[in-house]
Amino acid sequence: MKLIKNNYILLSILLLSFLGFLDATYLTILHYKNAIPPCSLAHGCDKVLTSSFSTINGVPIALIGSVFYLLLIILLVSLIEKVRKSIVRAVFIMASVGTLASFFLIYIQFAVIHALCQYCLASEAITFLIFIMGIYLLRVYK
Amino acid sequence: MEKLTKKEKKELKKLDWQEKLKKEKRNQLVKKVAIWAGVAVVLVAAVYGLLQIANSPQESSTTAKIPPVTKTDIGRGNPNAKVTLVEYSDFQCPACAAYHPLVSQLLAELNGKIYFVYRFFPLIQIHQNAMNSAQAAYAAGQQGKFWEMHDLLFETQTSWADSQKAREVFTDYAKKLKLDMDKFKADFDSEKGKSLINDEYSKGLGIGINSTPTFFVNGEKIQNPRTYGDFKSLISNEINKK
Repeated sequence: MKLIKNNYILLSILLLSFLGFLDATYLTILHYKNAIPPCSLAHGCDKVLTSSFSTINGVPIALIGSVFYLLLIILLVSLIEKVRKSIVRAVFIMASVGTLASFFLIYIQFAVIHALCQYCLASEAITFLIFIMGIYLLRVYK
Repeated sequence: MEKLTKKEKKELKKLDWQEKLKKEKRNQLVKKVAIWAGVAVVLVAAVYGLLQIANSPQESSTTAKIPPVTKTDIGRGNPNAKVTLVEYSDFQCPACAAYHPLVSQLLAELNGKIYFVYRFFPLIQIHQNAMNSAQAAYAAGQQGKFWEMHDLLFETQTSWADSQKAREVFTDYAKKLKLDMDKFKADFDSEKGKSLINDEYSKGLGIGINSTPTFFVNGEKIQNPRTYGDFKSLISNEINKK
């Protein structure tokens, strides 16, 4: 029973996606409430979250993150139900794209805005972890 | 009991088998629906929880007491109002700029019922133009136009925040405000101004301020309200207090 044996990997990715979803959705809610996120001086997340890089054509990056994690959750639940190679591949591709985007966003925080946002870094770390686990998943279900 | 023919027996078996298959299929469907419904419930609950967190007014006040508001403080509104709102702020801090329209709206809507005091808290370690923007506001204040400069600085923050030539920008603003330019330049560089700014900054540090903006309502530190509504109800509560 390959499925049972590897379920913990799927469940871990699912849990990570859920955490990412919470994080991104929280920021999305704050964005649409025009609320200022609770930031402290040491991090400068206000600078990041109110910068011109926090939206793309008016769509907040946090919302894109929410949708990204939501899609991952849906794909993962369907995988837990029934393993399909195409969906494993889709999860991996999403995680790869997400990781590339994360690296780009980290670069912007460091090099352009010169400030770090802990909520953003958490989400970027989560996406990277999902990517690493996605490599494993791809190998298992090859 | 009637004896069944071979054919009938076969038929019965087939029916039985079909029934079982149907049952199993139904079970699988139930399981599927249950899983997805569970996922949907968890996600909706999560979003609901986050909304609650985002809406929760953070009103836990600390014991930090601020230096009392005096006549030398830069204030706006009715100095005899029941509520005095003090903001420790940095002109280059994005959150401060984000709060600027909120505070302006408060002052407009609660006209006469609130006194607003601005205190310098320039975060010079992380904001290269924090100090000179404070000096520009101080210098404008010496000609009675502190608030005009204050508004301009916040409204245009992104245009000068990372500029190497911010001082030129501020000089332009001073011209725009029709200030006496010689006096503006002298006040900008005056030791008196710088020491006043530094004094407010170090007193702020002394009472444990570690971020901007930090607001005090009648001397009590408040957690920054996240929305205009929260901010207004907080101040209104204070006004309605006996």
